Amino acid sequence: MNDWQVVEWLEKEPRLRASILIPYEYPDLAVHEIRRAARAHHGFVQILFLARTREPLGRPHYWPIYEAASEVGLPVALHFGLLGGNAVTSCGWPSFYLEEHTGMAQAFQAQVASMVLEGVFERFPQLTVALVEGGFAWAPSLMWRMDQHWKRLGEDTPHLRHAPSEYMKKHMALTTQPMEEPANPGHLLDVLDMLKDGPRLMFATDYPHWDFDAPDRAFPSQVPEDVRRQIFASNPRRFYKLDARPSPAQDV
Amino acid sequence: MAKASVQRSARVASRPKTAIIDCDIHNIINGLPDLFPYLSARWRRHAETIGMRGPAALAEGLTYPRNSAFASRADSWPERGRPGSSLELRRDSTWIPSGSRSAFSTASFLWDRNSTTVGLPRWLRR
Repeated sequence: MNDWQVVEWLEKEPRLRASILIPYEYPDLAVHEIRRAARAHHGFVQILFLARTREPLGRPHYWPIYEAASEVGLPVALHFGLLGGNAVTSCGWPSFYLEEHTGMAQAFQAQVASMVLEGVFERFPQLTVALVEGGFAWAPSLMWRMDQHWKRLGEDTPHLRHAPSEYMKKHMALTTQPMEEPANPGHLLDVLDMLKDGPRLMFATDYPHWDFDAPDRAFPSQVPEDVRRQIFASNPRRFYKLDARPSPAQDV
Repeated sequence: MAKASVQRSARVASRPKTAIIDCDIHNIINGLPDLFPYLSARWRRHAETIGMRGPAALAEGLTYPRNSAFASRADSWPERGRPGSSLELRRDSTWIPSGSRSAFSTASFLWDRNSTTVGLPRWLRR
């Protein structure tokens, strides 16, 4: 599949970048594929997980993958996923697609809490994680909650040297689609302000899916131009180190 | 068709010159045969006789309605194949935009049926 991506997409269109697909429940095979694909083409910029893994992503089962990601210098991405062995909610299987889609935000929060609190970023200080299509308005409250509990319960997680929110801010980025659309657009500005120190936001459309966000319509007009520019370009440019990577495209 | 692309060009031209990096677009295979050139004989045989068996708890995954295919933008369906399978259509449409100071990351999926999208009934596709 990764070879197909190189031949059919990356080689034909220099503006594209790709994710390395891995069998993440078989970390030994995944590590092999990460090393192989990262060597094969500079167009691979991240390593892809879907949101509903068999275990929470902070568990040691997945550490060999993070070690390999650090070794090749690529982030991992966690993407919305309808498939997986576990229910999307911690309470069981929902009836409706609407419920399924809404529930994805809690799956992402569980994964973020697991990676942060298991100490993945202490063990792999170079590792970064893109959270793709999982929403972002929940991020501030998750940081508040983890930090508050850490103050009292941190004795139980001696491997954490910093407040949980610090790991999220330093190691994670969130994509914008599906855009949070509060009835009062000012509330979105509040959330953007809460995230100005991280985790950073990165624009995404989800093309060609039905819930595509168009770049000229995704943000309400109140969002300032400099914030838009960060989300559209400078945040992803920095997160993916696009300026430092050998680039298959001349015009990026 | 010509009229539509003129209108689109006008819209694109009127946009501010802002670099945009899209961090989530999907490409997809039209079917397992697309992958045959990249597979060993053993896995090609597997694909031909068994096919893909994904980790979904319910038959045909969790698409809604059941047994429906890819729900995607109406303008993303190529003449042949599935949304996300045609680079030419992507170049020609809103996505990829014609201003080339843009980079894209893709998140791609390997499921040959249903993918990770919600389904739409066939009559709604176009």
